[in-house]
Amino acid sequence: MIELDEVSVRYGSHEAVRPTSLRIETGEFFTLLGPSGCGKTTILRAIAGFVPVASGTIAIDGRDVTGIPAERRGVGMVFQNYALFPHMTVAENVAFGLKVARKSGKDISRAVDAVLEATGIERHGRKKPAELSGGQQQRVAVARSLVMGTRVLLFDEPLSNLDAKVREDMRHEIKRLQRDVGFTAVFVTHDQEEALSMSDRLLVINAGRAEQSGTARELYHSPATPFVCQFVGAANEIGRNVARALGLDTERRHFVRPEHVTLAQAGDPDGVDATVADVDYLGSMTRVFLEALGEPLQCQVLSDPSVDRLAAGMSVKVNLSRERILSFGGPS
Amino acid sequence: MTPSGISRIPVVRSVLLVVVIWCAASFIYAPIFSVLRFAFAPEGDIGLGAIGELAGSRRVRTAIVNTLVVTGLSVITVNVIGIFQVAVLEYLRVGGRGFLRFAYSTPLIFVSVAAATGYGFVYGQTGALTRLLQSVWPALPNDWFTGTLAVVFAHTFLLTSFHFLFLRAAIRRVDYSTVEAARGLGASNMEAFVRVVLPVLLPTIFATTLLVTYKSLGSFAIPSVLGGRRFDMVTELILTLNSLRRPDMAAMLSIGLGLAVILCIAAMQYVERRGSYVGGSKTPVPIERISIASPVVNLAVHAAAYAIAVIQLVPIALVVLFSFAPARSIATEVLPTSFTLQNYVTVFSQSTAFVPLKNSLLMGASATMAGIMISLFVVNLAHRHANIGTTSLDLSFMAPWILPAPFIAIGLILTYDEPNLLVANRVLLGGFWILPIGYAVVSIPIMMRFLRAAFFSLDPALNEAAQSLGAPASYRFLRVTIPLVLPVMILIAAMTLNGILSEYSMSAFLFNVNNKPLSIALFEGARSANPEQAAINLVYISLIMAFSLGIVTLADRYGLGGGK
Ligand SMILES: Nc1ncnc2c1ncn2[C@@H]1O[C@H](COP(=O)(O)OP(=O)(O)O)[C@@H](O)[C@H]1O
Ligand SMILES: [Mg+2]
Repeated sequence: MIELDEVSVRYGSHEAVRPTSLRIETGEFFTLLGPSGCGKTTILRAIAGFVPVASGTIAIDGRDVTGIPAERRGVGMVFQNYALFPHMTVAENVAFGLKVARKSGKDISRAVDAVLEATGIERHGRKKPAELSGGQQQRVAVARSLVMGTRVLLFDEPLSNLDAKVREDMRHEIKRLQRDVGFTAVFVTHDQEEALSMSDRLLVINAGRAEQSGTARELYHSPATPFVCQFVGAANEIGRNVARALGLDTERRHFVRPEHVTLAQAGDPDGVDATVADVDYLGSMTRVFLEALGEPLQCQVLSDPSVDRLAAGMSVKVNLSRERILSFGGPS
Repeated sequence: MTPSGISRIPVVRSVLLVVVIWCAASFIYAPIFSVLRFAFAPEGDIGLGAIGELAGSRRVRTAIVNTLVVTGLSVITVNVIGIFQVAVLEYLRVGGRGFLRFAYSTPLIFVSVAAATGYGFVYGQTGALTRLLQSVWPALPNDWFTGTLAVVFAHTFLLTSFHFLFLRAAIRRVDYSTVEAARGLGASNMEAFVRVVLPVLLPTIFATTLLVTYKSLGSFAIPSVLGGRRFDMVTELILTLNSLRRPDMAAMLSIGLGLAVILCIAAMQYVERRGSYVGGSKTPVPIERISIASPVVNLAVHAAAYAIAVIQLVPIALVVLFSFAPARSIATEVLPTSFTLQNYVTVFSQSTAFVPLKNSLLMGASATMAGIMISLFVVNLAHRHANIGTTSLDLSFMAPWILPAPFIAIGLILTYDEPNLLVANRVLLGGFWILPIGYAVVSIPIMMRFLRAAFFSLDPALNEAAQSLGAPASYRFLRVTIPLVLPVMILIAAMTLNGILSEYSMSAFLFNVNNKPLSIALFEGARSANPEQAAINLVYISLIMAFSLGIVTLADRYGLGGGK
């Protein structure tokens, strides 16, 4: 279990992370999600002990580690480029920490063999990192920490410089390893799809501030802030004209997800008048860019023959399901 | 490492720190101070008397004029030849490119006093090329190859290495799609080169021009060997003034040279900082060589390209060939007719011939070792704990980079020609160690540049990964950092040793009977009329070139183009 209590981090006068509290359960796959520069890496490095905190405390399994140097925290880090030692073989990389801890040669080779097997790279022990594929390198990086008995692994955007197909495979790879070995994973990404598909729970961060934590479904269906609403999944901000037409409180901000905007029959009395501006065919789905009462609105619907007939310039009616509208701010 | 080893590390580090600070004080600051003191206050009172005396000397004025004329001409000729070579290798479609590239690369291995001696051997009074030219043109005097002509000629074909290294690298970074775009907009090949390629290369051309200026201002071996007895450049005159026991004038003149050099380097830094144009293109298209349409121009380009290659290759070929020829054939034959290993046997078996080689290797190896250790210590310290103290230490050892060798040499002489407390009241001048100390001082800045680059290119995540696996700082340094920079370190050491083997400037000032180095033996051999001596010289030059060739090949393989 990792607990951050009102942790803040400063670089000079710049407060990169504002006081943040956080609790990550043992064995959980926890993700820090946010746009680039919001402070995700900084939080991760604070947990690992590479940056000092300006205030607050960090505890791992009940032990306060706030003032403890990185080499004695027992937290493993998987870097973006894996940071494998290029001059050592895979087995030597994995044995590194045990050698530092001055374990006996026999213990080391037994432990290394076991972890290489557990991570499925037993055949590559004698190779140099450069001879491995990206996926295999990632497994070495994980194995290197696991062999130390580390049960907390921090991942800093390990998939961000891979191409789409490999990336998807590697997601499953990490999840599988995490499930099989049962370590606690703290994962950093700016990719919301990646975050939603992998995590048990996540924390959304914006400009150094924790916005909301919860499961993927909670964040998607009940976002606590407009930022979470727009960053996790897509959302339309409803304009004033449409809000007025729907009888919504115009002092507040209202959002609706594109899949909750539906195309209505021409005579539907609840429908809002709109014009088709553009149509993106996405295969099973079609995204329709509309202009409703002079305000932009996106809708996403299953592709079918009636949708296929839509073209720019056509007049339609749209329905916004009332119970799906997400409202923030002002008096409720 | 044992636990006690770890606990000793801070002690070791403090001792090293004291040693390194003592080195900087004794061999950098004290010499600089001596030069300033002798230049401005030789008798204790501050004054500018030395300047007046220098200005009053006709020999000094002539030397300054010579230096400026040689530099002005060299800058033009080297640029013409160097830019033409790069165009031939990288922009034009010319036959036999591999051969030309080989020929044009020879200035990398044929340097300093070895090259000067080689040129003297083929173009000198009894040189093979002089005899060949006389057979075509009998009126040519024996001693035609002297003075400004000889020095500028040698500079022209020996200082193109900067173009070969840096300008070629720059033209390879040109995005060829911009040339194609220009062609598509109606520009001819020539217009495209002038309007699109050249402007991108201009900062690099300017930087190489400054490097040539810097090299030419401080040129020493070439005018000493080829200039003749009545021709002096500033460096030679500093040496002469020193041996005439006028340290005040020598010091002042070396300050003047130093200021000129510093000006060059400052300008170069300014150009570097302004930066070169890095194409915005994500996928730069490599430059494609273009065919020359006009047959006449094509022929002329080929003729010029091969003529330059021949001029650069022939001296080297003759030196190597004659090193395998009987000594008596030197000065009597244009090409040797019989071959022998006798000259090599002589060098390795006869002590008078072997001693300079041994001295240079010994002094070079000690200077290199000391230099590497100091550089490693200082660079690592400044890399890990950047603060005023470590930065000034770093800058102290970089200082000799902007000071010409004669300046430092004069400083060392003036500091250590009498007992000095800094070195336990001993006199270093006249001893063995003063020259290796000088070698180390001038080599450290280049070593530091490369080592620093190696340190900064290390992925900091590697260090952090080791840390999070529990490794303490000393363990990370020995097991992660050092192994990763080791190949660079070995290469830097070899390059330094290579440079020292033919180092002339420091050597000419600081050598003595106890430590006569290879470069001085070469210089003396070049002045001797004895063919045995000439033969030994050829063996020295060939050995130096063979060593350099090995180093340059290795450096090339590991992506370390020679330093600036
Ligand atoms: N070493 C540093 N020194 C100063 N500022 C930093 C440093 N590292 C990061 N920052 C700043 O802190 C903020 C958060 O950075 P980071 O944690 O790397 O963001 P993320 O990983 O979410 O992209 C950014 O504004 C960044 O510019
Ligand atoms: Mg980051």
